[in-house]
Amino acid sequence: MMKTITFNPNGSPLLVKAIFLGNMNASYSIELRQKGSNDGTVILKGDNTNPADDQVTLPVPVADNNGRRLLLDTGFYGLTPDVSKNYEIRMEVYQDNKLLGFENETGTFTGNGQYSLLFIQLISA
Amino acid sequence: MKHIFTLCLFIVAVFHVKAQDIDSLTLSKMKLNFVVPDIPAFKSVNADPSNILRPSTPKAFAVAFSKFYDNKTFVIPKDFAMEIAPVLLIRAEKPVTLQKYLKHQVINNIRISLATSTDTALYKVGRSMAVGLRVSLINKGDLATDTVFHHYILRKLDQYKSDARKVHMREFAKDHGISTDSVDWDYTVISKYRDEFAKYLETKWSEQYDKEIEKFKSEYKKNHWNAVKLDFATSVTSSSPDTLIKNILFKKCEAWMTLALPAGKNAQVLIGANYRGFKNLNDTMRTSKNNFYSNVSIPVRYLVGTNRVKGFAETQYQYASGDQQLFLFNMGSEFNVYDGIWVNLYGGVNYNSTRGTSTFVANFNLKMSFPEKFRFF
Repeated sequence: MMKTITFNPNGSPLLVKAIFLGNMNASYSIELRQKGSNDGTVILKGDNTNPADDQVTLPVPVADNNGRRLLLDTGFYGLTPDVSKNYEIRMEVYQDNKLLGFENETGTFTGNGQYSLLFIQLISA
Repeated sequence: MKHIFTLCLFIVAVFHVKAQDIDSLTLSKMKLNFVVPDIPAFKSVNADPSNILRPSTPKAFAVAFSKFYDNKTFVIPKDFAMEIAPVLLIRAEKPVTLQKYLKHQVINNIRISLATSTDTALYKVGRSMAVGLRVSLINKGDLATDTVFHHYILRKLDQYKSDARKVHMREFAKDHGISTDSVDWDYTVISKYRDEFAKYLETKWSEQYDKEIEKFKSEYKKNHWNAVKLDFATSVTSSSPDTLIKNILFKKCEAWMTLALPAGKNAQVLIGANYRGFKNLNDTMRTSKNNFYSNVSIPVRYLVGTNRVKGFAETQYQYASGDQQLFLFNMGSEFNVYDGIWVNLYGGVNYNSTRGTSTFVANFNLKMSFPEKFRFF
């Protein structure tokens, strides 16, 4: 089952954060997929060199995000797999400065390029 | 003395020319570990006439052994040292963001070393034990922290990520009977076949990028083996007439500072400073047995070669206790015989200008670290 996060349609705009833990280079994009369809828009594209800009606010009205899916699409490469072997990639959703929920992937660096794709479905309360 | 100098210059010149030939042969086998580091605690327990402590790229774990050759015969080594980088080892389990890793580089590369060796100064079966600490204050030429390498990899990853979704995942879905017209077909692939798809992608990565990245790394190492580094290290050594901890006595403390600078493409200059404070444990006179003596050394070493074969010439001035002035003229070579294994050979002359005496010095040792692709866990 896809991870679902319930939000308040009358609350503040939803904020999505991408977090990359581990000594790695990561190139990512966050996509917002329309309800009941594979059509989507890339709402943020970047890398993990500056964690401060790895977040984006979802479009308003907030209620329109009901049924949409968030996709965090990441290509990553462990820089020191011999000493820093573990990684975690997380996608977190916030509303009103509160963490509503997250989806993550953990694993070990292989010494090659690796790929991760995380999904979250947004449901209106 | 003049002849020794001439010989040193000749050997360095030969190495300089030879290095350029060897370079093209060794490039395909170059590894990230440019050299096994001098371990402070090991340096402290060994009677090495050179007081330079080579700076190097931090490793999570390194070991050293000597003497393999004693009294004209090969022997089982009795001297042993190990060095660990505790923060690197802890972070192997608990990952942090890249930014945090880069911000705390100095803390990451703090290394603690332990060494033990035979010490016959007090008794035939005596032992020396040392504890050392080293930190790299400047460490250029490390791929893991170099932003040029990061941007290169990020460009590749952007392309890889795009291909993974648009090309390879579609091919994979087709091969596994998943329609790419169905809603969230990519979620079906990831949720059902995550590990299998990761393996499939790894082969694609190897086909497309491995050769290119290895080439980039080789070029990088060729150009950065002699990059600027500055290391500070300190150690405390104790001596014991036997193997009992309760009998250990303070013997000496040492501190090193070494700056490594590039000298063209194939050479490096090391400029060091060393302080040694010690007690004479053989002194049993009541009036002088607690005296503390100090030596200060300024060594300069010129290294020439490639990643795997290096020759060096060195000179060192030492102001020793008792107003003695000593000069060391030393030369030798380092060979990377196998991934993570280095053989060091050197010889030279130690000249005491106060007494007008000179002694010949020579050493052979083997240093080991785990190979570049070795995994601890």
